[in-house]
Amino acid sequence: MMMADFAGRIFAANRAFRNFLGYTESELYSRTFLDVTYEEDRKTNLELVRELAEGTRQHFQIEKRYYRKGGTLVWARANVVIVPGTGDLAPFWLNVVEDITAQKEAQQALRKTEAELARVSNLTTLGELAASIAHEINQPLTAVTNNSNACLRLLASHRLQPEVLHRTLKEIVTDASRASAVVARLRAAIMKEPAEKLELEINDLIEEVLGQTGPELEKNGILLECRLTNALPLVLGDRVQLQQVLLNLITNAIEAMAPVANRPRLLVVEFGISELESVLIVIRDSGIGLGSDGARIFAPFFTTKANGMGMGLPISRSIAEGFGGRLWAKPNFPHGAVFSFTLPTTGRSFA
Amino acid sequence: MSAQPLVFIVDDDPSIRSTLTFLLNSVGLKVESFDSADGFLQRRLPDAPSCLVLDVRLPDLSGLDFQRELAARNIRIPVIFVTGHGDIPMSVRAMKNGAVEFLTKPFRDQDLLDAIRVALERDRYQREEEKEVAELRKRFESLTPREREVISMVVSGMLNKHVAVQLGTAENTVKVHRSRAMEKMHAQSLPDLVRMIEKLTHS
Repeated sequence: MMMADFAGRIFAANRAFRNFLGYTESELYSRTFLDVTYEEDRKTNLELVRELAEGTRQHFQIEKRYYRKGGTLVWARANVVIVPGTGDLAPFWLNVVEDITAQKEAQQALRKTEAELARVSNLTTLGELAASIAHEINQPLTAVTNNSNACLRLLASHRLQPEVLHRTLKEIVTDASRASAVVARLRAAIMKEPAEKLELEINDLIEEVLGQTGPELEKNGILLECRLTNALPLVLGDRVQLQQVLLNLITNAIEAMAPVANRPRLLVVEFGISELESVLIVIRDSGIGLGSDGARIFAPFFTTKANGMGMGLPISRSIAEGFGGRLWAKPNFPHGAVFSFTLPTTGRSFA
Repeated sequence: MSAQPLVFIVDDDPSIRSTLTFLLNSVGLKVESFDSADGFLQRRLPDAPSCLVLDVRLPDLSGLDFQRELAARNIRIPVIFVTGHGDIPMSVRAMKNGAVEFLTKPFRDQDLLDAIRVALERDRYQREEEKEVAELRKRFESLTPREREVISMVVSGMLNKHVAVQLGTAENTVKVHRSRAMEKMHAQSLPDLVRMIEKLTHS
């Protein structure tokens, strides 16, 4: 429990509150409540306090973060009431504070786990989807190819009858529509139309992805160099989809460096502002490079991996383009590859 | 005997079955198709060169398991695998188990037709071999125990007199057994007989 005057100066605090923040009485009394309130929560807190002072509200409850002595943060639920002045005693605020740090941390951990799960299940789906798509598209394509080849052979030997041709062409149309229905379903599933467009902070995204790929980087002895810029504008996009793109590029980089033994395995992740108000994300590796396949890597089903579907990069590119960005690849100097990825900014930056 | 070759197709996708049938018919091949492995197993195989075009991904059992099942039932039909999503380990396994070819859909029609030609050729050869072995076995079974004894010693390189010593009989008796056995086996010469016995023991 603590009390503060209308100027915000703390003038009384019980032992529990002092222990909660780790200050002595005298240290606390030389401070205002704002001094011990986390920056991000100050604005909301001030607003509520002003309403108390103006008399538009009698009390409020807020979940906020306090600075402990030494700078660590703690979560609290603060119940503030105004105590009217009597005689020569000025009115003051009485704040009953409940420590909810553990509860908040548990919530955050839960939320993180949920996000993780959502992402993992989403990625699994993408892989499975790619496998079933390959099969489902190949079936009608094979039917179309068979029918066309049969007609060509009959035609060459002058045995193609008009009614056979007619029936076969109708079948070809049906099978072709079947293939395009699969493509439409693929697009709908991957692009989740309409894709969620949220304002996102790109640093957050990459940090989460790097967190997820950390063990893999370590296992492969890869040095990670992050050149993150703090004041990047926000981008518009779908969190899970953009993470899939980043995860895909980083996983590719890891795999490209796995065979490298005679030089450092170095993964560089850079951010910057590119032309035309876009955020530029660059992922640079010292792997085996693109070789002569450079032109084909974005083609669907093209893969150099034994178990690859060849869907990662084409899907990544279509996600980037879906949000008005671009994704392209270039050789790195002297070894490896550079993947660059732009996303238009919202014009606003993260405060 | 020139029974018409027959191509079997097992694929659960009706449009693949019908278009593949159409394609193979267009080059004059006779086709029978099934929507499941089980359907094919119900069919008694004809006395004609045949092969099987098999989709790896079947609803009732996987193509690779089916291939094993065929071997277990001693059905020796050459198999051509077609798949929509073939990976390397899968194709290696199929080929190791004796598949003629492993094609990824959509395949070039010429590749399939070439594979079918190879498969039918293989089956025709195998059928002839089996027939020959069956015939040889019939002939061999018409030999008396003594004749069998004599020719097995002869083909192992023993001279008549050594055979006679071994069997405790006269050399002339051995000669008689030997020439009767040659006659019953329809062997023109000793090397001819050796080849026949080899074929019998290796089949």
